[in-house]
Amino acid sequence: MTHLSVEELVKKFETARKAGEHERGNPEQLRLLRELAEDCPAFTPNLLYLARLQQVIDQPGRSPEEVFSEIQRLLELAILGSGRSAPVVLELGNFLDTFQNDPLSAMKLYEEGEQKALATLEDTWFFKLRYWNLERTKESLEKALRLCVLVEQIFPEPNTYLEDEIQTTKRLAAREGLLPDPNSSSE
Amino acid sequence: MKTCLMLLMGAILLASGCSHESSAVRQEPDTHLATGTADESCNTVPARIWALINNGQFAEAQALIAEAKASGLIAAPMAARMLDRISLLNTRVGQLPATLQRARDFPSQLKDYTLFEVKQMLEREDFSLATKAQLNSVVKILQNPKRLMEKL
Repeated sequence: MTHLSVEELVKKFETARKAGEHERGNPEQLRLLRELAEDCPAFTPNLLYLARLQQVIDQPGRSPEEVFSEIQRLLELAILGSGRSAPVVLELGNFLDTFQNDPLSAMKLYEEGEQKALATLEDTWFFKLRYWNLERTKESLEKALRLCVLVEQIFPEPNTYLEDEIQTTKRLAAREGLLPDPNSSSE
Repeated sequence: MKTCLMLLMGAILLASGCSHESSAVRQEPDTHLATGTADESCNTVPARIWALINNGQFAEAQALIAEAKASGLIAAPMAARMLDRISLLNTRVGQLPATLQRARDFPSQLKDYTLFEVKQMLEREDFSLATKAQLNSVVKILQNPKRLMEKL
């Protein structure tokens, strides 16, 4: 079988999503989503969508156990295909917690998702501080200073890059007269 | 208009009191921003509305939200969040997809109860209608659809 290009996959996925516009989870939509999952099990947005969808719709001809095992399999594949991305890990955690009475496994996944999300947040804040520091206007430094307060609450021990950017913000802010005393601000 | 609103708010404040001690009344993010003493913060309109919601007084809360929004005392996004919260707490067990309700151990005897009422049973440790495990499970299942809908 020839490999679908990523653009083709995205197009097929959008078509499948649109097929549920008038009635979410109708048999035709489910068929399109399942076909895509079969054709490309590594395309995780589709797996995640199909897994989520089946938790909110009714499937008259199927037993809950059958549906639950399909959802779990989809989420496990999505974890592999996504390199254990935070949203997928959290989705499986919630599924195990809610439908499989397995809160211990769920908590492990919540913690993994939390660590991944925090690492993303740490990067996001580093990029934003760097942006504002390079912009170096009174307004941008004020924004950066407000973010620094939040950063220090959430990451008392920020990574080297983030720490350096925080110190840069404070130095620049002190020069702009936005901080009273540059020496006391590095505490 | 303003007089009418003040009267309505006054009536609601008098009717339900301000119960900071009640475990059902949790501080909402919005009230954290309110300055002043506890009593003052309770008297802000948003805090009052959150307290009504937490007490399950949804009709009163909805009336106050409509008035407060119309007179500009709360912004539209906050009003929307408040109404969403009411709608979540008002979800009935019987509204869940039938496939989920056929699951093993599903407490179908609770089908006419709302998420708010099920949470109340748990908080009061009232296990007369369902076991603690069933109540816990129903809370999780009821929270699921609305959360997932936002992601679909």
